[in-house]
Amino acid sequence: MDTPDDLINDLTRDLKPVKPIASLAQRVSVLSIIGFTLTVGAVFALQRVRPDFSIVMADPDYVIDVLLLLFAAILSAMSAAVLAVPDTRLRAAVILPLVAAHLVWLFLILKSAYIALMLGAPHMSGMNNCATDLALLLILPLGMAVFKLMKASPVWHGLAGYTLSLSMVTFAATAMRFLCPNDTAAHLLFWHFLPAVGIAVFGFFLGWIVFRKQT
Amino acid sequence: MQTSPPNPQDIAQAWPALMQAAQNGDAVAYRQLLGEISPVIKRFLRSRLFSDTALDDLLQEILLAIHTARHTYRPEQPFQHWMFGIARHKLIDYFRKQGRLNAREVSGDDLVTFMSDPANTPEEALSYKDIHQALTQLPDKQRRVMVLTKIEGYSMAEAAAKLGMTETAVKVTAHRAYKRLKEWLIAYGYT
Repeated sequence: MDTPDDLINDLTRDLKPVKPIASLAQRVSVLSIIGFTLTVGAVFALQRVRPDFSIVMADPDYVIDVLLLLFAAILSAMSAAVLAVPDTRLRAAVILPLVAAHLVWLFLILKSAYIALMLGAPHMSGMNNCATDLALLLILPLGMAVFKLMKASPVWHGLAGYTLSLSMVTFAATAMRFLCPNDTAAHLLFWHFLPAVGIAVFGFFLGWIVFRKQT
Repeated sequence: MQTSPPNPQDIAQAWPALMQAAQNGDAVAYRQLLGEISPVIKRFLRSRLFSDTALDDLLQEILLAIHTARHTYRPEQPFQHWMFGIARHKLIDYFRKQGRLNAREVSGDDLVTFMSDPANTPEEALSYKDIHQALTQLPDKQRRVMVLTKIEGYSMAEAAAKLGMTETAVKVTAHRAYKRLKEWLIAYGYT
């Protein structure tokens, strides 16, 4: 390329039509479907559902926790979907769902920490492989979601990676509630929630590396 | 009767429609769009860059990025926010690369230290034959930079103009050439 005018000539010569990116609602749906089917769906498909599933589903506290996690996962997917396209602004459409998702996480973590402290010394009571299960559940949906976002052009790279991994890890954390029969607060805090937060932070760096090459 | 020039805001209002037409493969609309946004992006860059040297390079990078990402534009989104989102990202990327390059540059102090070293006095200097042989070890681009700047006496800026490179690129190439020459000379017993 020599001058900007030469470049414009090159770019307009043999211009091909392109299919515009899907609408925001469609993008959120696609990310949510990827996250949900490949985590929660996988637990059911692989018949790894906890043995007391029908009993815990009658417990409102458990159901509310699961619904809150799903809600946070979809909110984070919404932030990621907004960040998929270039924009100078960090719009309310990014900030508000992200803040709400963090409030849900904060609530769940503080609730677990409070209950664990009320019960005395936190006991993590086995099942330490939950963090590994969480990470394994996450690999495929996160890979697919990153691939989807790479087809767009996020310009807030780190934040896009963070919101995307937060969404997928929240779906995975939801799936873990269907998989792991240990509902003690300390266990949830140390082996489900804190690893999930760590993975989301890792997503920031992943996004910064992966998406920076896209735009 | 003389017609008044079009209002810039009126021009910008047409950009979403032009981009939609471009997404449908309308090359004329796309040419008009790129032609109209180029001076706007140039003004954006000029107000943020310290020198005009990189302006055209960066503008072209932004136009390329806009071209690559043109499918991500949706009409419900303000076009300028979309366009400047890409421009801003490319500008930050440019500053980041510049920061890395500046860290690699050979400073004037390094050259003074080099010249004050007794090993670098004319008596100890390399023969023409040695220099020639060392230069032949370099890749073509590095050799041309070295010949222009160290033998023919051109400044970095003049060499950049002659080679069709940016001044920073010439400095980086020269730096790599010094490093390679040093390695070669050490391997052949020079200290």
